Amino acid sequence: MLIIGTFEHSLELEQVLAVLEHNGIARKHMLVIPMDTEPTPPVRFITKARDFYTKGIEVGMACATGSAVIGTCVGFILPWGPIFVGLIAAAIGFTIAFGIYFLINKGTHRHLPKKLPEITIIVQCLEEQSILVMETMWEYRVLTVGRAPEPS
Amino acid sequence: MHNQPRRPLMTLSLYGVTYFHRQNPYMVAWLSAIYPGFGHYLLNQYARATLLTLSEVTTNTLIHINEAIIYSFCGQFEMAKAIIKTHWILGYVIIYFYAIWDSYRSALIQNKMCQLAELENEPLNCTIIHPFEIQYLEQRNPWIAAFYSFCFPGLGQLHNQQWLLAFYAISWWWIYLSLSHAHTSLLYLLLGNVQESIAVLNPHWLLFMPSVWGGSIYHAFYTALEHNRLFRLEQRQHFVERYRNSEVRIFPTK
Repeated sequence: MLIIGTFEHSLELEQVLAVLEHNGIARKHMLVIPMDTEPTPPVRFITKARDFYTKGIEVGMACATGSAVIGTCVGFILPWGPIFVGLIAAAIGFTIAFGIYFLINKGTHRHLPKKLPEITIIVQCLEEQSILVMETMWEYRVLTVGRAPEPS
Repeated sequence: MHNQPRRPLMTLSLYGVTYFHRQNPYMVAWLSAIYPGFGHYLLNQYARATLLTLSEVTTNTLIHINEAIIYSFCGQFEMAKAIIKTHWILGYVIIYFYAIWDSYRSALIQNKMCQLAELENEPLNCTIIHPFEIQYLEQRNPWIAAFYSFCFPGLGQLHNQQWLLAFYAISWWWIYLSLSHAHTSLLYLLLGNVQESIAVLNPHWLLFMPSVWGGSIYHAFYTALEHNRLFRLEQRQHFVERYRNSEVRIFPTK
């Protein structure tokens, strides 16, 4: 049988391979395929395909920090005092910068599912081993599992 | 002895992971602008970054830069001019702009070195065990790292296993809290006593806090992201090496 499982990058993924090997599946009967989640040149594949929000945070935090400093200063002459004005300025700065970034780049954003199959594992085993292999995969956070008869 | 790679990408040490990564040079320059030294923390140049932050807090305190900033933003320009210690101000400005420029320039260089290292693709190290510490590459949620630093700057760095940097940041945050009376002021505010809450504050030490707070949240978030990237890179290298001789055939071979 051929058992095919998809995983995210994780320590559990290494565990499942180690456990399968320990339970008698030979290393040469396993095929591990790293998948690209973005159509980028090979050197940059390792960045997660969720740069959209993190870039927004980058812009937002930069603006929030600047606003907080100004807010804290001006807060000394405002009725609410430097701490509240500083915090409010930080929140407003973040919202404005993140909002502008979001509006400008909305069209370019590709919606991806939260969990992506980043690694595919193909295990070649005997028919009677297949249940064990599949159960082992389910124990270690596999995303999806498939099964196919061996080619003859 | 294994040959040292000419362009290594990262190293694990007692103090955590030190690595090259691609980053936006403008963000690095901006972090240096909000607090000289913070840009160099993003560049993983911890020693000079720490010395720059120490130099900043010392000279700022001697020259009364923070008070002058507050007076300026409140429109009291005469007060601002009066409080500045003029014999050090030029030196302060020179170092301030040097830190911004140097971190910007280094970010550009490091981006190139990062690409060279990735193309060289030397095997990465994923665990070290030292009598005092264990350090390993691991996946973390960057939002949790950011949240910890949001609550108390330094905790996000500790979450990222950079314990020395973490305790440096935590110590300074305690110092800022003690000297600025920020938490006391916050308590007065929550009790509705606004006048008292402003009176208890020390403006000079308070003004360091927004920069440190924002900088540590940003640093925790991006460090966690970069650690995730290194974890994935190392795991892929490992799989390619270990399953190189797979005999699995999906289609019949003639």
